[in-house]
Formats: sequence, C-alpha cells, structure tokens
Amino acid sequence: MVLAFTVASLVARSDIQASTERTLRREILGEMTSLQDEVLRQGEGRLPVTLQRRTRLWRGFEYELIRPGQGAVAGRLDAGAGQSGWSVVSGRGKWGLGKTFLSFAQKTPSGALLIVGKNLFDLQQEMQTVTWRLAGAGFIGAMLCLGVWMVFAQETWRRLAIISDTADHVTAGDLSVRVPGAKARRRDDIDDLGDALNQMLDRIQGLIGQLRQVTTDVAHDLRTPLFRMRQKLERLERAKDLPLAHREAVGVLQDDLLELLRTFDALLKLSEIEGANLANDGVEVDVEEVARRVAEAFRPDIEDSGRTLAVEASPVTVKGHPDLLAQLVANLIENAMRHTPVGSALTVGAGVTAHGACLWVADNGPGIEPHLRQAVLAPYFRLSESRNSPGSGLGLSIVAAIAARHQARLRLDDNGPGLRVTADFDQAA
Amino acid sequence: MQALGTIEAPVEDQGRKGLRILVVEDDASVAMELSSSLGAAGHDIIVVDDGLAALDTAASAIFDVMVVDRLLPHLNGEALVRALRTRGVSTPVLFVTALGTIADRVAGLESGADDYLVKPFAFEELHARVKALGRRNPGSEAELIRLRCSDLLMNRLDRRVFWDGAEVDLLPLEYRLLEVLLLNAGQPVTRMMLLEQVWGFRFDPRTNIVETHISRMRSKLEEAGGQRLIRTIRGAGYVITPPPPIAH
Repeated sequence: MVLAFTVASLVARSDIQASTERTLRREILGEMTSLQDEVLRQGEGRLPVTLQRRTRLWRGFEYELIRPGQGAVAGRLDAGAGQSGWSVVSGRGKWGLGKTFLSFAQKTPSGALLIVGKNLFDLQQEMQTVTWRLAGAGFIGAMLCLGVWMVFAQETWRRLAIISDTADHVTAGDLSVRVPGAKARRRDDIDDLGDALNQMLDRIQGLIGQLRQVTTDVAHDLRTPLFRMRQKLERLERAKDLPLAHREAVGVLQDDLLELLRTFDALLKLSEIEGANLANDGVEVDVEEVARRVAEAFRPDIEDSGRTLAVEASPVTVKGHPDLLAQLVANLIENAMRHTPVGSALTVGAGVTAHGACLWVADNGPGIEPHLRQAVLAPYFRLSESRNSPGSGLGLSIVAAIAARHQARLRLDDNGPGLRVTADFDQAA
Repeated sequence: MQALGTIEAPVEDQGRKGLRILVVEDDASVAMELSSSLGAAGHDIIVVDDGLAALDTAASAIFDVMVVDRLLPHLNGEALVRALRTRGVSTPVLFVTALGTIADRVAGLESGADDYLVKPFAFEELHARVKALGRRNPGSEAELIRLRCSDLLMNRLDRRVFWDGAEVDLLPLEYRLLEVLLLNAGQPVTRMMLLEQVWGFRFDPRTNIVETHISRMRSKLEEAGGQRLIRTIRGAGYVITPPPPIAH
C-alpha cells in the first residue's frame, strides 16, 4: 500500500514538474517572441530601454542583452557569455546563491544576444508545496488504509485466536470443545478452517471413544475368566492334602492374579473417570470429612509400618463425587507409604486458599525429582526404584484423572524435603 | 421381630436357616450358577428369566431376598424394582450386573434396590450379601438398641461397648466396625462390605486396612475379655460369633 502511494506520488510529482516546466518555457518563449517583434517594428536601438521598462514593470522575467564586443549592455540577468538556446543560469553575484534561472538566448538581427530568463525559485517553491501536499495526501491515504486494514485484521485475528484457543483446550485434554460456527454472514476461509478443525476433533473423539471402548471391553472380557481362575486357585489352596511347596506356588500365583485383576479394575476405573460416564456434576462434598475419614482408615497401617500421620483439615466443600475424592486421597496415601522410608511423616490436609478448596497429601521422604514430576502421572509409569514392586503404575494416573474430573489442578511440589501432592479446586463456586 | 439381638447359635447353624430367594436372570448359564451355588448353601431358589414375569411372581409370593440382573427382557431391573416399591413390596433386592460404573450404581440404588454387586464377583461375596439382606428386617434395624455376643454388649443408643460390665474404649471407626459385625452376627461379613459400610469406600485399596483395623480391635477386646470372638474366614470375610461350647 505504502509502496503504491510512494510510486504514485513520485509519478505525479514528476508529471506536475514537467508540466510546470513546459508552461515556464512557453512563457519565456512568448516573451522572447514579443521582444523580437518589437525589434522588427521599432528597430534594435530602443531595445535596452524596452528591457529596462519591462524590468521595472516586472512581468516576471529577467533580461540581458549582450552586444558583441561590448558585453552586457542591458538587463539584470547576469548570464555570462552564453549561447543560443536553453540553459539554466545559476545565481551569481547580486542574485545570491540559490537563485536559478531558466533562460532562453536568441540572436537579434544585429547579432546581439538577447536572453530572457525566469526565476526557477517559484517553480521550486511550487514543487516543494506540491511535494508536501502529495506526501501529506499519501500519508493520509496510507493511514486510512492501515486503519481499515487493522479493523479487518482485528476481526481476523480475533477469529483466529478463537480457533487457536480451541486447539489449546484440546491439548489440555478437553476433546469436547468445538470452534463456534459461522454467524449470519458470508462464509470465508476462516470459517472453513474452523469447520476443518471441528471435523478433525469429531474424528479424534470418535477414535478415542472406540479405543476406550475396546480397552474397556477387553478389560471386562478378561476379568471374568481371570476371576474364575482366582476362584479355582482359592479352592486349590484350601485342598487339605496339598504339599507345602505347591501351596506356596499357589500363593504366588494368587498374588500375581490379584495384581492382574487390580490392573484391569484400575484400567476400567480410569476409563470410567476419563469418559463421559459421570452423568452429573456431583454433589456438595465435605472435603474435610473425606480427608479425615480416609486418613483415619489408613492410620493403623501407617503407624504399624513405622511412619506417622498428621491430619490438618479445616472445613471446606467442593462440588464433586465423594467416592472419587476418597479414592484420590487413598491412592496418594498409599503412594506416600510406598515411596518413603520407615520413620517418615505423612500429612493429609484439606483447606481453603485464595483460589478455592485444596486437598493435599505430603511426606518428608526422598521426594520426586522435578523433571519426573509430570511423568509420574502418566499411566504405567514407574519410578526405577519401584519397578519390581507390586503395583500397576496406574495409581497416580487415576489421581490425575479424578482431579481433572473435578476441574482441579494437580501439583507435585517439593515439600522441603519430600513430596507434596496438592489438588487445587479452581472451581468458580 | 427381635428387640434384642441375642446370638447363641454358632455360625454353621445360621446356614441351615435357608432363605427364599427369587433370582431374576435371563442368561441361562449365570442363572444356573446362581441357583446351584445359593441352593447348595441351603436356600430355596426360584428363577425367573423375564422382568414382567418377575413382577408377577414377586408381587404374588413372599420372598426373603431378590437377586436381580439389571438387563432383562420386557422390563429391565430398575423398572422392575421401582414397580415393586410402588406396589408396596419391600423385599430386599440385590442387583447383580455387569454395569459397574458409579453412575450405574447410583441409578440402581435410586430405583429402590438395597445392594449392588458388579460381575464378576466371588460367590462368597454374593452369599454374604444375600444373607445380610435376608436377615435385615426393614425398618427394624434401628430398633436393635442392644447387641450382644457372649459377654460382649454394645449399647447403640449411647455408643458404648462393654465386656462383662467393664467398658471397652473403642475409636469411632472400631466401634462402627464392631457394630456391622454384630448386626450380622454369626454370618460372615466380607471385606468389601466392611469397606463400604464402615469407611464408605467403594474402591479396593491395596493396603488391607480392614485386616489391620480388625486385628487392633481384636487386641482391645481380648485385653478386655480374653476371648476371641472375631474370626477370619479365608475367602469369606470376618464373623463375630460366640465361642463354641466346650464339648463334654
């Protein structure tokens, strides 16, 4: 835009300059013709007087008459030697610098050189004015264009921002968002982009749903035969004449099967929590009560294992599912027990912060290194030191899923020393 | 029926008191398993494979417990139970179903059922729950103010426990644990039932908190009275029962 304006202005300017110059030349030629006419009619003798008179009358021209051998005999234009034709005489002497004249020199019948010139200063002034005017107009034009463009661009940026925002929501885990549809105006490319994104999200959601269904179906289908296997092992274990070595082997098999069944149950639970199966948004849950109840449930085991438990809970409620919140706390407590040495202190707490309710479980054990804190929430992730101990690695991912279900943010922080896992319920209550 | 819950017969005798059970299940093999396993435990079983037929049967005969699948032809389990409740049939209902999500359970219980078991389940679990439901006299549980087992007495009005007159100091959770066992005295109460009724957990923690609490409570009781009343039945759960009479 700006480029176009600049080019246009330059072209216009040179046009105007050329046209003005042509006019100037015509005027000078006209004056020369008029003088030569007078010479023809009245003779050359009166020419200096004529020049003087015309100068006094100020018709806008400057003159000079150069007689061969005598130099300049009339006129103020100090053109120097000169020759016939057009030339530009720059200011000398009494004219001072900066004054230039466009002059035309022609021989008189007697051989003298008659020069008529016009000050280019005016032309230059005019050109400057024109240039400024053009620049001004160009600038205003460019600003107008910029303004209009920005108005349209704002609208475009805004719509693109909506699409970008939708994508962010999806990345954060919410597959149910969609780009809002075109309003009652003409459809354009951005609407098409939004539509394409929506269709893609539909497809992805469908695929994930299918995948989840497959996982759930597999878990369901395998649970029954595994369960039956467990029953049979239990019956076998109770057989009176079973040799000791076999009994021990049966015990190990039972433990393995139990692990398998737990893993399937956890998978199903994870699937249920993550899916849209939780029909309602929940009820008012007394989080303090949940924290205390679950903590006290684990107290005997915590104390028997040589650790201590403190409960720091104050009254607070959130909208949610009491069963799931209880499981969240329980999983975190079991996690803390599993990853701290004997003698560690565990704390379970619930309270209100500036942002809303929060629920936490903390310990003063070895903690988790910062770069692993996000990774531990992923399904099946096991810290290297617990790789061979029982457990599916799904416990924390269930915690994360329950937190997400409640629109709570899960934080893993350093407890100085130890680990502190907090669920911040950022509910706009 | 009973103002005082006084248990004198040992566990095995309780099994003889068979319940009349209506099983509503359209899957023939599951129905067979249910009826043979419950039958073997001494109960009288009638099987119906259709929701509408079950409505007729349940409304026209007296049953102690109903075991109902949620997915049935013609009238699904929930609608069946709702219809029964509307007609004033208060027979305890246990749903057994593959529908296992939280929402499913809530919906099932809201329709008027008393308990909910998700397939697959251990038959011991089924038996324990069926017996618990069969023992329950709707509405009268609250009337059981004093529960006794041998020299142990629980006063539910002021929530105090005595062994032979001397008070036993129990924590709230331990009290509740004992209470559930006493309400089902003589019959095994499964670990899952205890997790649900004492702690409100509908999930299964890896840590066996039930066992730990039971053993702590056992120590307190044995300190007070010197007798072991609470037995662990492997695979079935925990039961509180008077000590067997000394054989002469």
